[in-house]
Amino acid sequence: MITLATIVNWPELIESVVAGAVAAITLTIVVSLGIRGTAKYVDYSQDNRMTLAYASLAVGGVSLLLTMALIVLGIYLMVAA
Amino acid sequence: MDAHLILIIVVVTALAFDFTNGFHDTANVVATSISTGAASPKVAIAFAAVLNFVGAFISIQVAATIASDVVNPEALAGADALNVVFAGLVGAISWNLITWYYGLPSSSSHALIGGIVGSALAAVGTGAIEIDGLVGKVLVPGVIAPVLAFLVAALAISISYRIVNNLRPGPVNRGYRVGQIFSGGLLALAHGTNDAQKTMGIITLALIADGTLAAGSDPPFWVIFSAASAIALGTYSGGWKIIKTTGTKIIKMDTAQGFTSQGAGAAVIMASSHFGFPLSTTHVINGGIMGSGIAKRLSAVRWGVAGNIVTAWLLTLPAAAAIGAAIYGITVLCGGGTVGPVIISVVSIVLIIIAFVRRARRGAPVSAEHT
Repeated sequence: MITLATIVNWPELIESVVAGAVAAITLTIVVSLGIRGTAKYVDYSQDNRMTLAYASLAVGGVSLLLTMALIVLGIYLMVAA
Repeated sequence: MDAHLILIIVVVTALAFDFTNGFHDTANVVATSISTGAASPKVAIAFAAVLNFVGAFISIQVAATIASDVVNPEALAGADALNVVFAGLVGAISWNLITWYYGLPSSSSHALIGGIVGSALAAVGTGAIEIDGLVGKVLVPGVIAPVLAFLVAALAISISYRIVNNLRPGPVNRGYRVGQIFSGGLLALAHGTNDAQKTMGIITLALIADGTLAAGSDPPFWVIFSAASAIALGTYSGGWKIIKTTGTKIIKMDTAQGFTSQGAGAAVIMASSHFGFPLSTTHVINGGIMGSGIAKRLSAVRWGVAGNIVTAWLLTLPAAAAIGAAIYGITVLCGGGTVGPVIISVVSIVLIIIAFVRRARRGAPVSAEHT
């Protein structure tokens, strides 16, 4: 008797589910941290707390670079398949 | 000569389907960017069209699934193979246009698969259907993907709100608008990757069934290029009525919700394309939109509209299959060969023109101001 357990390639399907979920959540966290860093930079600059402002800006910058890296990595993995 | 003419009709019909796929699915790709104000309609659609084109060249795993894992090309070869593919395509295009006419974002992919399965069943019977591939690579991933996008978007929006909590809304909204340029771009790329490949797969299936290509062949470059061009042109032409349904009627979105729903959709579609699962981008992005809405509050999702969309999803496979089977029956009644496809093509073109004229008379397309 043919069952779902034998028809579906579960390892591939689970890998696809995990990859999609991890990629989406990671991208969200990185972009949101970037937005927080940038917004805090503006707030701290206005309060003249420059050390905290630059630290926040660094968070924003690193997040932007990570976002780019994640996108490039995702496309590379697709093309390399 | 007859076989060549039918092959040309099948290729043109497949590219016409690809065009309607892009036209129909533009909403999935750009609606959230437009509804949150992240991009103007013209810019969002042009951006999506270019990335749809590029995305079509990224992978051929989905094309391989469509060409050999849904119906058996060798089983079709014994029948009137090209007429089977033609009838399936007409079934899919018909269902796409019916749902476009009524503004329902149903699945172009499931319409295509339903149409081909219906016409193959009518022509050869169950022996032509690759049950393992249909269930394991289409139906099961097709159910899981929108649920996954829903859950991931719900989790992602909860995390986003926590991270940007207590910040002034101005910079946050501006930030997520910029983020939507990336997430919208990724979604367009993912859409091109998954959906253009379905047409490549169908043309490859026709070329294999016709004997032009050997079984298991990859799509030739001209097939990839023409499928990429057709979906990009369709996307650029846009479908304003569906954009309105997807972008504003399911939930009223803020920029963070737009970003997370697009990001979740893009990630799920790209991961699935990598493994050759021919997903419905419509199902996935609508799952993402609902997930990002439900995380805020249950009542944010307009469940009546969402219910109509789910109904259209459930109807798509059997309806397209029934039309595909009926169209194949008509080609048989016409004596097989070229006569049936030529008559059906002419009648279809006339019906499409009538539908467009009636659609235009019922009301102007939704403009940028309405979205």
